[in-house]
Amino acid sequence: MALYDNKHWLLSHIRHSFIFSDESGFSEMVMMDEDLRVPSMKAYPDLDQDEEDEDGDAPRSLDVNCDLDFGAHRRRVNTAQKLEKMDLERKRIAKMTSIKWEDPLPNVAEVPSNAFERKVLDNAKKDKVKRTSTLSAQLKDCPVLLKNPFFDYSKFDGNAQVGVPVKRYIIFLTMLPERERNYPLHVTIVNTAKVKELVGLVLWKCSEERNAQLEDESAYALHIAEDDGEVDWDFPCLDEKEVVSKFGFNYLALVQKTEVLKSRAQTVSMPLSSLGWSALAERDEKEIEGAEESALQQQAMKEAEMRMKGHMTAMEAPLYQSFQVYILNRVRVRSAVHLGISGEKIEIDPVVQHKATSQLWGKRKAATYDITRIAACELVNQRSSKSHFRLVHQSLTEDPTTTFKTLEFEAENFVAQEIVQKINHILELRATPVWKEYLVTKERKSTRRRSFSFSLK
Amino acid sequence: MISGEEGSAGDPSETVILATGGYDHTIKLWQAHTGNCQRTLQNPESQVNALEITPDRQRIAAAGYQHVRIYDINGSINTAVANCEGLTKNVTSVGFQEDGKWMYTGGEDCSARIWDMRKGSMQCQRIFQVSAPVNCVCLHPNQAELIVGDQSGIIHIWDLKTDHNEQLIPETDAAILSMAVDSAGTFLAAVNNKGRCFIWGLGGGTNDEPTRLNPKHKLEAHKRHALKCRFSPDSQMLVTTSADQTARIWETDKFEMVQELTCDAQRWVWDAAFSLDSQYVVTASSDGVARLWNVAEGSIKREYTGHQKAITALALEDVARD
Repeated sequence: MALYDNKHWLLSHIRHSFIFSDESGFSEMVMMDEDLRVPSMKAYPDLDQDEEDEDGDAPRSLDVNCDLDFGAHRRRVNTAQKLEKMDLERKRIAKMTSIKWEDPLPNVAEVPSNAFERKVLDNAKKDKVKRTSTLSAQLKDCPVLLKNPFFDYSKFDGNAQVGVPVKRYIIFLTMLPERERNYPLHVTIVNTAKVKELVGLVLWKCSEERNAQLEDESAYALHIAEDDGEVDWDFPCLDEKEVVSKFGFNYLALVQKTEVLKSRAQTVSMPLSSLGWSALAERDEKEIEGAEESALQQQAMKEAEMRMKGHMTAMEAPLYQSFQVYILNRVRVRSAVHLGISGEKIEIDPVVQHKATSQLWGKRKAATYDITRIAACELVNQRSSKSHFRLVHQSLTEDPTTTFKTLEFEAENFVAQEIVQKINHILELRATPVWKEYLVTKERKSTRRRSFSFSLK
Repeated sequence: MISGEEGSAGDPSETVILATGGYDHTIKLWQAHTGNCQRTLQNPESQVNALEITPDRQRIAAAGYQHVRIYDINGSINTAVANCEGLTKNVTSVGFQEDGKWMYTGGEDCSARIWDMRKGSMQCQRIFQVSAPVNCVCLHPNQAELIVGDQSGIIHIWDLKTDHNEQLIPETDAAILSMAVDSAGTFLAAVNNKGRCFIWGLGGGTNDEPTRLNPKHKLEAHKRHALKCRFSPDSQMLVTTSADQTARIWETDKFEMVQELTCDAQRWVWDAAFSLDSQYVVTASSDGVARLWNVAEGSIKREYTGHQKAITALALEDVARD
């Protein structure tokens, strides 16, 4: 390393090393005091002349690594890649003739040349010949093609690009008829495209290759999927404004947005961001009703699928999940809480509220109920958007005869449904003595159910 | 239509060639009448400033930064087959002598050059230096005079045989951005960055007589930069393109505007070319779309979508029909 002879390099190196490796900061302080700031590379013009290797841009310190060459391992990989690239380039150039500019001979005008003879233009000829055009004829023969509404997205097709970074996806098309669904679409897209454009590209390919009847691109969303095509409903759809290169998933599913809402309402999961969902749920309800009226047959077909989903729900029930609900106190004042449900316990955490009224009325302490103490969970009543549900648990008194207490909650309809379903699955699964006892009590008192529910309070 | 026509579609000399290139470092070859992209050629590390198809219709030259790359149109290699190098700056224009003997280029290195395309020959290698970056070069149809427009607003007429040159300045402080001579050699048009278009009638230019320019018209063609001008093959029309997002068609009798080609999506229009019968014009725009227009109707007939960035150059080589 002849570079070590260079005093500028050494000076720069010492300064860098001090600043980067002296944790006490003392040397830096000393240098600061002496107004010896880190010099810029350009301050040493003779350095650039010394640099004959390609690492001309490298910092003048062993401790400062270019991010590309970070660590010994990466460095080798980069070298290999570089070599490969150079090799390819060499091969490419071998096929390419290189024409170097050479300045003409100095006495150019005297060199006899027939290359620049003036051509006589026959102006009379131009009037006689009426030019015809193959392009015109072809355009006439090829009437205006029915334009694919997704055509504009075709420009994002990575297969039509060269030298542009692309991403490859395998996309399952859940909106196609059953028998075509098993054949996912292979899509290559340029890295810079947005998710929305990926949706458009998929629809374009889909309409070109499968002749599918499709709605416009806003009706579809992309979800993460398993390699067998099963949609992973635990995650929301990919944000359509995001760039595709951000997502590392290879398997995606194109889903009609109405399907998404149904699956959300019918199966489980999804942390709820309280607002907005009620509106969605309402719309969803209407759509489900509409679907039921118009296509009962379809519903029957889906039943089997639904039963399957029901099993899945049961299996997933013990997994921890948190819901945002309202707890109702005795005077029916609502206060927001997080209801955390898992196979082991149920937790109630009050949501911090800043309003004075809610603090006055709805002050709640966090509480945890072991699942062995939970007796039941049931829907009490259902209104247009909110449902009222009740959690029955065993009180903690030392009283040998079990007494049951209740907690009242209110939540969006489908959240409530989901919670009740989830808790009941857990209870069935666990089959705790309390649950059994409660069932027995309930049966025994079923004739006097009204009074029973009063006595609980 | 003759029924045998489809069969001859594969013959390269019978195929309409439409190529576009731009800031995405690619050149795309299109099937002009369907709008399908047929091939994408790589022009690494440079935008495409100008495209020109060789007279034998076999190759296409792309002028870019420090290079002119030449591609095989009918081959299968998507990279250049020849690379003209040794230039220091952007090459802004490129063209060929009608027999393909030599190629001319103009560039920001303030020079216009003649490249001898015959192997091992240096016989017609020429260079012409001016004092400002060369924005456009066009060849007089007599194949012996090169017209060079530069950034300082000077038009140079360079006689290739005698190396003699003449200058004229249509407007001071305005860069000449494009020039064109019609195929009959009767008009020279030049557009500048103020949107003005100048028309001269051409006289002389036969035997050893130098070409004379007789000022004919001065048009306020566009409100912003005028980027390109082209005469139609029948010399009846002139198209000018502009940063004002339009292309305009002018008849060459009184030089009045007959059509404006514009649509909402269109951005700067960088280049344009007529079909052989002058009925259609293809334009290249910064919105990444090339469009084929019916001149008489002013309507879009085809769109060529596929470029990721602005399209700045196009070349159209139509085929005459008997």
